Amino acid sequence: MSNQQRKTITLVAFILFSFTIVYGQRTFTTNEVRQFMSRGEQNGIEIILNGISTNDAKDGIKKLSKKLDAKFVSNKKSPEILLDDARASTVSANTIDIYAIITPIDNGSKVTFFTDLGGAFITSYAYGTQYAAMEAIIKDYAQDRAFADVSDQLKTEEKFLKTINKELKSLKKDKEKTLKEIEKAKAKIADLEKTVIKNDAEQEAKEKQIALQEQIIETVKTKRSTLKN
Amino acid sequence: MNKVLKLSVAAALITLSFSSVSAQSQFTTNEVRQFMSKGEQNGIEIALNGTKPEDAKDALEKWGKKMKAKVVRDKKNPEIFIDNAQMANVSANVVDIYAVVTPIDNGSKVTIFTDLGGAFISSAAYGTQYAGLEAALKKFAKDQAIEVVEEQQKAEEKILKTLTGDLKDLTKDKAEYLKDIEKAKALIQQREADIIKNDANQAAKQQQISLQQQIIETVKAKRATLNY
Repeated sequence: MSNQQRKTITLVAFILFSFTIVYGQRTFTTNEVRQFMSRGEQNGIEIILNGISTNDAKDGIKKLSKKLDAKFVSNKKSPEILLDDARASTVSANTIDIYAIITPIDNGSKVTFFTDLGGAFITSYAYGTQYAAMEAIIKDYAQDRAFADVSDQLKTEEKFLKTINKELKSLKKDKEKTLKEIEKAKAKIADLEKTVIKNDAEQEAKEKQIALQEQIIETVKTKRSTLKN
Repeated sequence: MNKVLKLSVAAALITLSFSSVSAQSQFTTNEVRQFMSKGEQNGIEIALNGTKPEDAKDALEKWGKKMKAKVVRDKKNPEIFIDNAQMANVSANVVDIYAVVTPIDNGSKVTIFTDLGGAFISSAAYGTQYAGLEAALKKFAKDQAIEVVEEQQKAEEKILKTLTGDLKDLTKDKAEYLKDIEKAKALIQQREADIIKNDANQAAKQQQISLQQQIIETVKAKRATLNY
């Protein structure tokens, strides 16, 4: 398998994967759960954030706390985040305390929200209206996260496109340079071949000159010996 | 043209060498009567082909010393005076020789006037002495000719050495040119392979770009659906 084929296959796989991710998070489903948290066993609402890291999920909760005019309380020792005295008019006329627990899952995070109305935690059966309003806030939060995530992804993909465009440009430049180098080498060969032809002629002439010079020397030697006799 | 010219020069040179070398096989003297520092006297002249006047003067000085004479050579005086020369073939006594060197085409002419001690040698008055002097002068000319030929041989051998060196250089140059040609050919081969690789890389990159553009369009579409 060539390098090119391998690259193509990787890219096709990547694009299919991207389609899956992108289309997989179109709907946001919540579940009501009952589980233990810092205030005992309570009802909560959980939501899956596909493709969102726990850090990004936490950032989203921070943003949500600002939106709800709440105090964001997070402690490294505790898995819970507290949105203290949040103002959510659709849920309650009074301030509420929201506890959020972020759990990493395959391909993303899961966030579970527990909402204290000020003495009682929201459940679907006891506080149907408040539950629906809270569910809407949570879905809105998830959608906001998904939008931020897709926006980041878009930035990354555009950056990558820029990089590969630059690489293509560089390859084209390299090719031009290489072609020029080939032309230069061909011209050099042509010049050298001419020089070799000239050199051959010069060698031939020099050999004849040498032969003549040897004759001259022989003649001089002969004369010398005749004079000495 | 350059090659033809070189060969013509070489051929001319060899012809000239043959003629110049052959011309000095015989040494002919002439008796002359002419004015010199001691008035109008008889003398003997001989041509020294291929010997420059200065070399002829040096040779006369050497010849004089060989005859145990005192040699007086003055730049202002055209005569070289060889005082008290011992020439057994000419006289039992010492003789004074006055030599005058004159430049001629392709060499020099030496004229000597010989004073026996009161009378200058002439063929008419001193036949035996004249013959002895003539023989000595011919020997001097022959020795000079040998020296000229030896110098010529040295010069020609030096030229041959230079020519052989030139030929060696040319052979070396050619070998280098051929090496450079091979090197350039190898470079072309390598660069052509690079071009093939580059073409493949460009095709792959273009495919990558096209796929990346599709990814971006997909992400944008998704983003649009989320932004309501």
